[in-house]
Amino acid sequence: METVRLAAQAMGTRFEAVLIGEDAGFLRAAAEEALELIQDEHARLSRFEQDSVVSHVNRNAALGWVGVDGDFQELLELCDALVQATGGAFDPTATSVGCGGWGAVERSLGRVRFKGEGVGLDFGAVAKGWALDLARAALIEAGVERALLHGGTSSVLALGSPPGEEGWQIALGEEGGARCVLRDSALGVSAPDGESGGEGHVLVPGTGAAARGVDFAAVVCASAAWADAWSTALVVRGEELERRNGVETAFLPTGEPLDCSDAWRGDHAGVFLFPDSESA
Amino acid sequence: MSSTDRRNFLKTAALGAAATWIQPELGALYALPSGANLRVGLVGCGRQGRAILAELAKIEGVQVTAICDTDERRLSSSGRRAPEAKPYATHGALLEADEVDAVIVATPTHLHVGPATDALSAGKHVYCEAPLAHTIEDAQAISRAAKGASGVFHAGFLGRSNPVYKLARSFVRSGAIRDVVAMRAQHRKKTSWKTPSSDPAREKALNWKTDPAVSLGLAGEFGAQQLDVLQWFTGRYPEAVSGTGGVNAWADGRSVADTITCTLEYPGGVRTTYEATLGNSLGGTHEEIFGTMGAVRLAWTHGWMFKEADSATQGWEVYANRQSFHNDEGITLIAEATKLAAQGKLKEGVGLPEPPIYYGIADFVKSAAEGADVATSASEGLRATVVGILAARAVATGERVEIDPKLFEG
Repeated sequence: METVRLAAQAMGTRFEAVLIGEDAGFLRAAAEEALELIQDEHARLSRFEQDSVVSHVNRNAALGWVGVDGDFQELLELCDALVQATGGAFDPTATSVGCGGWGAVERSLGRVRFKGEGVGLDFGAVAKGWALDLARAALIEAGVERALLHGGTSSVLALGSPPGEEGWQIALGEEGGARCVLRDSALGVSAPDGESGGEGHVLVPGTGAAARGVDFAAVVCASAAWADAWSTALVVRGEELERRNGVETAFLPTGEPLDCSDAWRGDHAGVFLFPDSESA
Repeated sequence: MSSTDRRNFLKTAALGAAATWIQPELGALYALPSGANLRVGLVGCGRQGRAILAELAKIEGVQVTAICDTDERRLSSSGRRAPEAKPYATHGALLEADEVDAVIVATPTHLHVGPATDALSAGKHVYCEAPLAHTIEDAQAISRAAKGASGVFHAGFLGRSNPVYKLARSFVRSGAIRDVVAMRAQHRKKTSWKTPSSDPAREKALNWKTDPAVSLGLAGEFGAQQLDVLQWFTGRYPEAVSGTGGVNAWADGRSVADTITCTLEYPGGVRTTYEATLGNSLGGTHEEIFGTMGAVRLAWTHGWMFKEADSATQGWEVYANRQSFHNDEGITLIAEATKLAAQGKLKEGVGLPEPPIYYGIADFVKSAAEGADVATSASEGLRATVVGILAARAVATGERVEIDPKLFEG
């Protein structure tokens, strides 16, 4: 068995891919293709890139309808589903405060417009997962069976498992802390202060205040985009969301890793994990 | 002027004194005239084809009604990007359905000639990716078909549509860097240039860029595009090209060089050095023109002018944004700089607001739908393609290749 590791910069962080298989040349080509797809999504979805599709929409959609391609439209539909599912705790307009929120984003077939000035899309809470989902599809299409991809360690996607293992072991937080096992599933991790600490980087939609829902949220889903967005939503409004129907909450014990691979149901439901503070 | 205003002015002026970005006018997006529409079909649904679909979606009045690829997976992937388009497995079927006004050819280079000439024969407007073909004969066939066609033909050499490049060219042509003494271009990106597939036949088809039977290698795939920029800026075409290349980064059995250097000789003794590698990414992709009073560096989304100390200072430089490159300072040339400076937005205005491919596609749509002049004609496309093909030949053989101007004639 060969193992190939590749990395690329995208979305303000480092994406890494670990692929295991028989042919190193094939694995490298597959990893390159997956990372190129992620970089393409960065070029399309970063609001910090002047020539991205998002910047194009943000510049023009307050002036009238703006045409967007089918993939972008699909992302908008996904965001709409996530806004509904999280009761607005996830909102891709969260950084434009006081402008009407997601309700100010009008969509019709292949077009989008904003109801007023000041509205802006920011896919920061979903783009890494969205890109990882596309990368996974490309890997599967190419015939890759075992891979782990992550973006900045906060969005993780597992395909198959390493040889002889139940899944890919992922440590949450510090060494010696909780660990979960992933197989054909995705993990999204979010915390109010992010990796660097300091002021909160997750904003509460509508107010723009730093979010303080829960101190740490790890979400396992089939889809990395859903895991990504849900982990942010929990940081924004964790306790409230825990009470919603269909949300399962578990506290991860330290010690033995917990196999979370089958915890998700369908595309949307997830299991939301918090390190168990009592046993930590 | 208050002291605060003066400080702000001085700050702005100081910012404008280093590396000068070349910035186009940030005009409104192109849209077809009210009520007009253009039905477009895309032939070739790889990465470039998908990028083109994203740009077509931005142009009001354009409908992508058909997409075509022999590879079902790529066709399906592009179908998600253009959900209203009908999928076709062959360009013949697409043309037979006769539901498009224009065809964009984004297949692998060696497969351009069929869709391009057939679409022209069917009276369609055609945009063909650069280089036009992998052989001079095919490129000439496309050029000939374009000359006798009722539809518009636009060759996808993007420098000629790029607003940053157009602005930079106007400076170079007006003598801002004075006499051109040398030119240089590079393409560096660390990538194996391989596409994975578990199906051997599909794997071979997808990896045409490393197939010596059909690939022009780095000199043709990137060099043709970049060398055309230098040709367009200076109006000079090379008389001879020599080159070397090797498989220095990816010794996986391939024979198409992953690292190359070419020297192109122009009338009057000026030479261009072109180098490209798939083993390192430093500096990315850019072109440089060196003159006796300054130089320009063009990096597709950005451009800079570097002035010699003894060159004259022009009024607009007061407002210019600047960027340092080690010991050099480049000036970013910004149209509407006065307005942007007054708004404190000089920094924000730097760089292209849309990807370079947008401007090529928008130019094509404008020519096809409104009869505007074609930005890159078939003859210009042929010339640039011939230079790329002969540079590739020089790299493959290691010999100096003379360029007969008759080859530029379709």
